[in-house]
Amino acid sequence: MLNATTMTRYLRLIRILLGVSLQNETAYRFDFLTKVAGSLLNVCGELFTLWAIFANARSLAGWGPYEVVVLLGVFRVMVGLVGMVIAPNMRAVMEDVRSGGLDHVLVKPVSAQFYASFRNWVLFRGLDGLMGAVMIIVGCTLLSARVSLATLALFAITIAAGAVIIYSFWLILATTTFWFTRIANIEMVFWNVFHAGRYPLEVYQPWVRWLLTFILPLAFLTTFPAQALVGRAGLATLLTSLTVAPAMFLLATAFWHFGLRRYSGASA
Amino acid sequence: MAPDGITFAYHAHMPVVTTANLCKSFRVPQREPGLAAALRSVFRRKYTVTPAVVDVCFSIEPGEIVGFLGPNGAGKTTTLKMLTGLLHPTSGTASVLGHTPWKREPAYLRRISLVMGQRSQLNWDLPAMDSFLVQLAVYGVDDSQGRQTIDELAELLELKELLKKPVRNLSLGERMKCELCLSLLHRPEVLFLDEPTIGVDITMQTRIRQFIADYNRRYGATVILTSHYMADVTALCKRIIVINHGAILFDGPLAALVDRIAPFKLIAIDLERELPNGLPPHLGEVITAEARKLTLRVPKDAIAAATSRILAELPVLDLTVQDPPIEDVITSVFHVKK
Repeated sequence: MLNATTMTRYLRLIRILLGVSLQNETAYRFDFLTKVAGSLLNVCGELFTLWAIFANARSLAGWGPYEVVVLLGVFRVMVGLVGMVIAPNMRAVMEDVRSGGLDHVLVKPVSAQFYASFRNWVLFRGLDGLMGAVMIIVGCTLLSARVSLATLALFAITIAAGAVIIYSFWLILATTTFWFTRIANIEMVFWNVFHAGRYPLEVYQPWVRWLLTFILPLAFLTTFPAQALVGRAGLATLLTSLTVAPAMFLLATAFWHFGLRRYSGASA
Repeated sequence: MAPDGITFAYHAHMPVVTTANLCKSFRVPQREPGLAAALRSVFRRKYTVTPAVVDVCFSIEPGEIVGFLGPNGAGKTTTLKMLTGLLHPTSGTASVLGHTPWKREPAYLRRISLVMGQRSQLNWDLPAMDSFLVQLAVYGVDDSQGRQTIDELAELLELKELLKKPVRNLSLGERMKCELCLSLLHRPEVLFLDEPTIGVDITMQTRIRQFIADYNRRYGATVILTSHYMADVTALCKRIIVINHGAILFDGPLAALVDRIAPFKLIAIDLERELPNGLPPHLGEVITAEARKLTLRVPKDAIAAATSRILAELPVLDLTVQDPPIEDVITSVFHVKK
């Protein structure tokens, strides 16, 4: 299991992988500029939609405009997280399973799940995270909400839970390639569904809400952390986050190991 | 997993690798051609079990260089994958450096290395040096020792200038040298090489071979190599394991291979004049014939008789008895045993 020496070794490894990824990206400066422009345009588009909605309505399923800005901020942070580390690594896993490149991951004396999950970083995508943070801060300021330490703690827990859940979700998707070899456009499907997270859960029909909480756990990614910050979340949100996130993580990890056993022919 | 602090010491007289009755079969989905069969296979797949490795037993001593020889699909790579822990065997056991490979214990993986000629581990867009640094961190090699190893290996492989160029700008051979260097940075005790010279030109092949031999001598590492380039094997390996259809056909010194599985020699003769009716069939099997030069294949125990008969019956200018080339020997083995 994890002890102090392994931890420091893994942290050092992450630091080096980050450094290498950064160099990789500076090699493509033009690509960097287009990425920045793309992110900015996305944010503008979202704010524009928001403006259009609130020009016609005073609230969106009970959420005021600044509260939705906070929600969009959380959404942007998640976009950043997925784009920066989750998607690039899971994409690589899917590719490696198909090509056999996973062999190189498996002969390394580190946890295969760890190495496969943190090999690649697209650091410029962290920009989305920064923009998200700015939107959250601006939203909170405009709300003139008094953010107490307890609120911050609740926000930190729910957003961390959201991060764990979205990682687990992607790991499960990537692991299915052990059986299906190729899942066309799975990433497109993800992003399309994920965009439903730009609106508060309450705008949807009850059954969709249920679906987005327990089947495709979008609620955990955006609505819950935003709720926490604007003071709409209670103990129930906290407890669900604290149960679902570890459960999803354990499930995804178990599924990954099950997939590996198939890959190595141990289950046949 | 073995608790930290316990090291599996092995002694000079103890084998590094042992396998006993190692078997691996794959379940391969079967489908008949045609649409109906395709639809049926969506719901109910038929599988056939194909044996890839059958009852493989061998042991390898520390410092040996052993070559696995066999045609494509013979089971060489499957065996290698079991020894590196990538595949679980269907049955049988294997032990490498005292570990069961497919448990993939970090303590085991740190002591071995796998090089696959067809699959690169280098980051395409960056100089090889960056991939090296990642490798050192993955294997937990400390900085100063790592740098020293890089210097040493770069010197041996003559790749000092290459380390700063992006990998995509290197030639295939140069890339292979970097690949080798990368996989040796943690000083593995056992090195598994799967087709290390594939696609590389002859000069580079020779240099890579030389380097492998150097590394083996310098660090006493055990090397297990698969190749279907005969020259790789004949140049490097004193011992050869021939595999075909998943089973071991031969395990022993290269010279013995020729003796054992090529129970014939070649007789080359120079004639005074061409034979109008060709060679009388009772003298031997003709392999090549061009004008007045003939090569015959004759069973080893019949060499003496055949030679005297040829000398008596034919107008011979010159006659030599030779061993058949190793390539031909191997090819003939694979054909006979099919």
